[in-house]
Amino acid sequence: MPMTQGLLTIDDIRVSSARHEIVKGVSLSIGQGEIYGLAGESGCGKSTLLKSVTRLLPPGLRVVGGGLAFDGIDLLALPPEGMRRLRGRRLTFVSQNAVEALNDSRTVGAHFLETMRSHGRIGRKEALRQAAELMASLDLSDPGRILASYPFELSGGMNQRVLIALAMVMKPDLILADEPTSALDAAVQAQVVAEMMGLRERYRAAILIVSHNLGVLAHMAETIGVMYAGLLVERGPKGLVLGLPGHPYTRALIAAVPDLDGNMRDSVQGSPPSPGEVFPGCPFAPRCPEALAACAGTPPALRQVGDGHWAACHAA
Amino acid sequence: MGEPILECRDLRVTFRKGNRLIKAVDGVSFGVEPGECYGLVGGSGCGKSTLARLVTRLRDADSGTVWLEGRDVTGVTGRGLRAFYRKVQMVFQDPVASFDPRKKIGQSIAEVLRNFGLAERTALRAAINGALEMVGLSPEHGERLPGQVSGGQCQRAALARAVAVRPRLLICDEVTSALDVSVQAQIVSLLRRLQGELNMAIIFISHDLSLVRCFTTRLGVMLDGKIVETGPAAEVVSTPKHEHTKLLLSSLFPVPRSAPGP
Repeated sequence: MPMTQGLLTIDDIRVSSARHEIVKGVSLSIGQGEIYGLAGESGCGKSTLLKSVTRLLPPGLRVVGGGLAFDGIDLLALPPEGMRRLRGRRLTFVSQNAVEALNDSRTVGAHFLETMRSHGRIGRKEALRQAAELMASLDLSDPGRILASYPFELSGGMNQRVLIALAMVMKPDLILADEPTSALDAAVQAQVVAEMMGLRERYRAAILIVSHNLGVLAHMAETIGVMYAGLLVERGPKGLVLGLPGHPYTRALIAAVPDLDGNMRDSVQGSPPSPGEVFPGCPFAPRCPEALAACAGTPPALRQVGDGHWAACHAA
Repeated sequence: MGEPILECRDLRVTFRKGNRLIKAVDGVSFGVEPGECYGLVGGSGCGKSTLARLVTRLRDADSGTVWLEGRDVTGVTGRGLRAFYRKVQMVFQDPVASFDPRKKIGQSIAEVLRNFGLAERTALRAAINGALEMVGLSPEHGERLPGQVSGGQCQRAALARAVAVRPRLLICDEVTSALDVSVQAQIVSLLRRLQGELNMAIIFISHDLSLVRCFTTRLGVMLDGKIVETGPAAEVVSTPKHEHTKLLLSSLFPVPRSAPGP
């Protein structure tokens, strides 16, 4: 399928464990300053896809095919030292779990100093001043106190905001965010979402965000991709993917989200497949209310269903 | 209003955390009508789960009373507590943890049936299968361990065990929070069906205001151990009165369902 040259181009990437393939050939492209939302349920491979871009896959997982190009750089051919210099400066990662990502025995300020001084020549005072300025722009009251605090002294929401500030401080071109708000209370989630969007406006960073929360993606992203069973089954502009979904799975996901008018539909039965399940045809066919005879036999390829809008469905 | 199936009067519990005292439940009173679905919604630490533990007698309140069908059950123990659980059952967020991991799901259901003397030995198998069937599982699922079924199936199994005793009231504490959204919708549909078939009341506790709105007819919004707003679910979300309800509503990210516009 044609692919425009963007800031990040993921080309038919495949990620595998010793036993089975987790990401089964996904292609997508993110432009400068774009927010790209990846939706999907547990085990669909969305977090693994995201981590493959940082080259920080968990032990046992490796990229077995495809290409990753970041601003013209072939990430898969880059030596570890080159990747390390890129990561944390031009390409940063925000995980869901701030408790694991931050070191409890070091202050928040020490985290900023480490990030900033390992990627550039900057004095301690100036680094802390810049960190405080960034935190103030996040509406974090009393940045001085937060910088002097240890992570265990701060709330979960505050730590998550620190993590996002750390990912922003080097003014990266691309932020990879893995469920950055999923562990937060509704009100804190709304605040963090607003802050991420504000930072995007300020620094024009592109964001690839993975979330199971379709509403957060609908609010933040310009482009939405939907993953199922290790495959990208739909992608396109947010308005089209949510307004005129081309894949029955996307339709089912949207219908299942409860809304304030009391609507919530269980239009599909069964559970998402576990990683490693093999399907001769469309992986969604066993659960699909619209499946045709062809669906069980032949895997559907992504095809264009609208302007920039693609869906992998025989019936689309 | 008729006689409530369950009523709480001025429940209070205080925890000590370090040298601070936390009023986890701070003077909560509410009633649930027979067959009604009542929702409790609030953020983490608002006291909703502690309240559930008080209502289900898993924890004693510092003060206040719990009434079941007009009888004070606040301090019941032994035989009285057993009679209480014959009428009140509960399901939690993590279904796998609520089962004995070494027992087949069918065995765990059998235990409940035997405890309450609800099935003769000869009819036990049929009663287990009946409970599984009621939640959309097959007899084959009863032969598996809790760790050998999916999260959604395990939550169905937990529901099968709870409704096997035909309770008058089911308390659901974040029962879909660990599930995928497509599976969550299935469990909510199942709960709706069970509620109708068994004519039981449900207290449905969740952090998700949209979900509570969809499932319940009446709800209470909790903050800092108190119910700060209560009323018909549709009315609370359309015309919220309390600032905290307004905050929860403004924090939602709805999914647009039609009218595309890139």
